[in-house]
Amino acid sequence: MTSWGGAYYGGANNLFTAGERPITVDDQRVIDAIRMMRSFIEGEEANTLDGYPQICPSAVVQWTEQQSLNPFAGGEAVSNRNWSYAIAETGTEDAFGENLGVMTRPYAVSQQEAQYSDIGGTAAALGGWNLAVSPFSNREEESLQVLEAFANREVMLTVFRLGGFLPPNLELVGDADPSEVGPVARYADVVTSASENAIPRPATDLWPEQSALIYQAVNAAYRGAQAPEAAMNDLANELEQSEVEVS
Amino acid sequence: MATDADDGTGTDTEPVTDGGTLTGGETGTSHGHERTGNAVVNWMENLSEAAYAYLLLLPAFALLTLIAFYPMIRTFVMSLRANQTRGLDPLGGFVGLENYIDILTGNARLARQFLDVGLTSSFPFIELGTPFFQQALFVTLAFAVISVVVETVIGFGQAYVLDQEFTGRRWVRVAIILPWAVPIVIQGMIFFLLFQPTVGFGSDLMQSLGIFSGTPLANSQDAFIIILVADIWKSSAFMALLILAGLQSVDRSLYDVARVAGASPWQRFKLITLPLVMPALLVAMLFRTMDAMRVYGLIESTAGCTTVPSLSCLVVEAMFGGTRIYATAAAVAFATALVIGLIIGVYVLLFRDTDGGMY
Repeated sequence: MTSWGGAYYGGANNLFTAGERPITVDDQRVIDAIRMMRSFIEGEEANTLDGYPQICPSAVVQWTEQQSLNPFAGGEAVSNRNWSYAIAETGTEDAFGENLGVMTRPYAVSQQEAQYSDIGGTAAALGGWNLAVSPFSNREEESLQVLEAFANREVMLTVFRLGGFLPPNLELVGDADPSEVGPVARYADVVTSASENAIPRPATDLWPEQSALIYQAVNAAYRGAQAPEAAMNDLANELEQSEVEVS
Repeated sequence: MATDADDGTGTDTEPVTDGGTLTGGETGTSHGHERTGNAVVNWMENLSEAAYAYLLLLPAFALLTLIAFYPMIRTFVMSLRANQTRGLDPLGGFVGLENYIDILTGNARLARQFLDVGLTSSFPFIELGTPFFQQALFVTLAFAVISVVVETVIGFGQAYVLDQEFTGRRWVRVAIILPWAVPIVIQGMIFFLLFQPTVGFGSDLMQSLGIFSGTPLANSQDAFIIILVADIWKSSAFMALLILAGLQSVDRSLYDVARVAGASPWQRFKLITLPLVMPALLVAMLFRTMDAMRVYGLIESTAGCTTVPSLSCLVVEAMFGGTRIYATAAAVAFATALVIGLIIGVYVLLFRDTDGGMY
């Protein structure tokens, strides 16, 4: 969606303030992104986009990320969109080794052409965890020490080395010892570029609720159970109702 | 056990005051009229049969109150308050039955709705807001009715076969009961993998027969059928087991008499087997209905709760979905309990006159 210049709530600056923000999921850019996915799944069918061939099995609509990695790791698919841990998994010598190629996501609409700020161009979903101290905590000092520990260079590198999770401080990617970090080190420039262009999820307190509405509507549109326009219009109404709760 | 005759002899004791000094039973020895020296035992022996039965049921009832009724009442109280997504207080102000109106009109803050039907002016006067198999109430009721009916029929057939004398009967019994031993998650994985297009043959087979779409686990109607079949495969064994117990308690000589009297096999079944097995059959059906109304694990381990939402699914999603909508969760939970209670009520009412009784 982002690489098509589409967005849930307009520009990236609206991501974290639920309540009074525009709902833009019924935008033509979002609908085009869905139609492209339908082309990838169905080929030339209703509600698909010209010029995009069928490239994936229809079963993708009932797969989760890990299930979609299996055919790729098994040598039955030429490409797979996944997280950096997938590089660690398939880039080892006993898997694909140096034959594994990694690239940032291609895009249809550049950042300059996009209607909203910081949307468009290559993009990756920003994964990971946010740590915060509760304002009601009576052990603020100790909590802050924990947070500081996670910001420590050595801790970040250890997490990177052991789990393949990229450090929040991207400069450390270059600093890490390639022999310790494993296959990800070979693709340091790509993962750095992906991280620089990562877009966070709209992680407000309403996000779990909204995320369920969104994946359901998008999945129904991919399957062809609903036309993309109708699915996104319904979704926009549902999101509006959800936003009213906190405005 | 206390009898009416004991009541007469017990009138000269002092049950009320002695009952108050439980630990000091010996202090009453000076009265010299205690047969056992224990006021409590005396008091209990002098109770009528019914009162004694109630006394024995009291601990169980107290436990039930504590672990079932108290949480239910708390849930109901919670469901009368507003959702409060932010702030210290997990619940908002009193809103009456608003949460119930929302879940019954398809306006709850849930990805799948409890019930979502609207009224129209033309036949059949109601229309579905979302597809039938995406509304939790319909999914659960359809699942319960179809699965229990089919499981009863298949279970009865299996039990009837197992009740006959033949060599190798022991092994056939084991084979029939085997699915019941499979854990729910494993059972779910079996059917999940069966319908993964690259793994199992289920999708291709059913698609070539024109029954399923290409991705049955993402399609609500197909996934409902898969879950139904998975449940029937497993639970028919349970029905067979209970009905077999009923069949084996039937006195064989009744059949001999019937045969001598010239009754046909159908008459023997209808007039001897069925009435005698009925109590066991009804208990088995009641158990299965309750189980089916609560279905959750099987769904979660095959197609997932968004594809096939059951009532329990909705409670779990509302409570643990991430966004704080505890009042909605409470309303869905209480409404679910009500629906299950109603269904059980129907059983009790319909079958109260049956020989052997339901309760």
